[in-house]
Amino acid sequence: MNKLDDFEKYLRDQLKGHAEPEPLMWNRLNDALGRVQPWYARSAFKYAFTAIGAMVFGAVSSYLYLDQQNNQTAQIAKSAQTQKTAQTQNTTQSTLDKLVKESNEQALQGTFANPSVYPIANMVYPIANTIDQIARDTAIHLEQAFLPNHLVNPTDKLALLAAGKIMLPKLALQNRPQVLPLAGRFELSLATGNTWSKLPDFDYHLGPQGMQHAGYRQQQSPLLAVQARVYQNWHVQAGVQLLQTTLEEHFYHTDVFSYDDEEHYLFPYLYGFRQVSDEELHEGPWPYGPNIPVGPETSKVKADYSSVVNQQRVVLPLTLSYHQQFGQFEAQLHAGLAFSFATKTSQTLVVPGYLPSTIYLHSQNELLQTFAQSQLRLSYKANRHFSIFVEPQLRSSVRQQNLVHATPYRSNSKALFAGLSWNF
Amino acid sequence: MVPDTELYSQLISSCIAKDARAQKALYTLFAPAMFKICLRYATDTSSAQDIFQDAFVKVYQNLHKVKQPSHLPGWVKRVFVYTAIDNLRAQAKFRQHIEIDGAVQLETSAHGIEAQLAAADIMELVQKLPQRARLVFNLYVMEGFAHKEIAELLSITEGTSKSQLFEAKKALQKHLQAQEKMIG
Repeated sequence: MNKLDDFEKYLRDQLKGHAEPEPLMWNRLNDALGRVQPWYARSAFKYAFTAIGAMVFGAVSSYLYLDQQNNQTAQIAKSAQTQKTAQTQNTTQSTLDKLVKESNEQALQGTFANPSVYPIANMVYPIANTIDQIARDTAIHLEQAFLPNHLVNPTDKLALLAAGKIMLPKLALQNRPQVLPLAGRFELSLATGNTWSKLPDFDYHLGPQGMQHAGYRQQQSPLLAVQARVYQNWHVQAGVQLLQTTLEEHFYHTDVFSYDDEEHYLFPYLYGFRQVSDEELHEGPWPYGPNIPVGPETSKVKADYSSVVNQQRVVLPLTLSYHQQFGQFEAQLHAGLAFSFATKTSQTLVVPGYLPSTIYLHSQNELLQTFAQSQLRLSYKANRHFSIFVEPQLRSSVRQQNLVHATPYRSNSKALFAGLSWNF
Repeated sequence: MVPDTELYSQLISSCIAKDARAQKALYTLFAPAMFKICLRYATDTSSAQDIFQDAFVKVYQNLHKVKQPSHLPGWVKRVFVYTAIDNLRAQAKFRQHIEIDGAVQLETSAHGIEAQLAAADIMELVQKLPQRARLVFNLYVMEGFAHKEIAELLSITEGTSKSQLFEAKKALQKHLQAQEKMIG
């Protein structure tokens, strides 16, 4: 150590100590560490959004293009059909006139009056006549059913004559009845229920006398979900739900660290340390004895306190499901992922004898949690559109969650929902 | 294992695992003291913030090099001091100074004018010192480095280190006297 003169000692005493950096410095540091990214810029989301965007664009543009093509084809076919009909009418008219004329001439000549002249023809003629009549009736019926009113005339000679010539291509060119394209494909559901989850027993290092116990609970808003049929019995479901989690810890005789000249104290809790200044606690949180110096700038005290961490999250479940119907009942087996985004996190420290102190945590670690989710929906169809259902559900976090004061763990939860759904 | 070591050990392992909460805890633990160091080495608050950020990034990236958890505070402090020196070196070339072999001992009183000045004013005066003088002053007075160590660290001679310290003290005394006149 250098031998300092008085002036140097004075300057050293004045210059040592602490200076609080601006609060934004932590954010700036986070940026420098490259950790903070908007959620939509994270790679998984980026690729997912790009893929979904491309699919939506492709689907919409294909639909518009095909729709336009169909309309054009239909227009061309319709005008062609109209022209053909007019030509056929003319031809038919002249043919009919010719036939009638020939028939009259033959009748006059007494050809059919003598069965011995054309025995087979005389036998077949009534049968052919009957078949022809049936074909005419069918043709009229079909045209009335499928052709627009202005094109249909039951007495039309076309229908009478060309009964046996009505072909499917002709029908296919007609305007089909208007049916909603979404019908039967989409289902909207709203469900509410209870969630049960349990934290593991954390292995804390709280000093020789320290004790801790934790309680964990979840509260959730109703789950709004929309389902779309993608192929036969396979459906995709996306939903949204708000979730509030509360982690409450009670500490007994736990070491609290004082680490600087300005009397800041660090209260350990599951997710880290809560810094509280002496001023905030007035005379200090130590009914259990004086500060014990631990190092040059660190001392410890024992304190009882509680830490309550409240977190609000938005949960977006996305599942693929298989549906099987049993009469009025239906079973749906879902499997997929649930993405949970933290929107607000606060921590309240309660030291007995002092006012509770709440801060908002800007935790990056828990910003996004991903869960594997499976559920079984059992529903009863009250009518074609309306169903009621119950739905047990399991969720398990995809990756372990890191904690400052305990070993990493996976959070699992069970839930039971009941709800209503509407099939479009 | 003393509680400090336990605390540091947990912090180090969690920070290496890139646990954001542990990183925040480490930041909370050391930021105030380290920012003061940065202020002493920098010419202004903005430069101090740059040094502060660079140093903390180095701390997070090199925590695995800490062999003994109990050495964490000293190690963090060294990272900050060296980062400050590197930063100042990069900013500008040092001015050339005439070497003075023997530094003059200044006779001052701790209860004189300087007693009337707040620590913030003295910090400002230190920040106004020429770069090399400020470095030597900080390393010698605040960090307790010997002139030989400072010379090796800054690639200068011991004589230069002494002369820079002398220059620093002289400049500080001059400023203090000027302020005394102003205070009246």
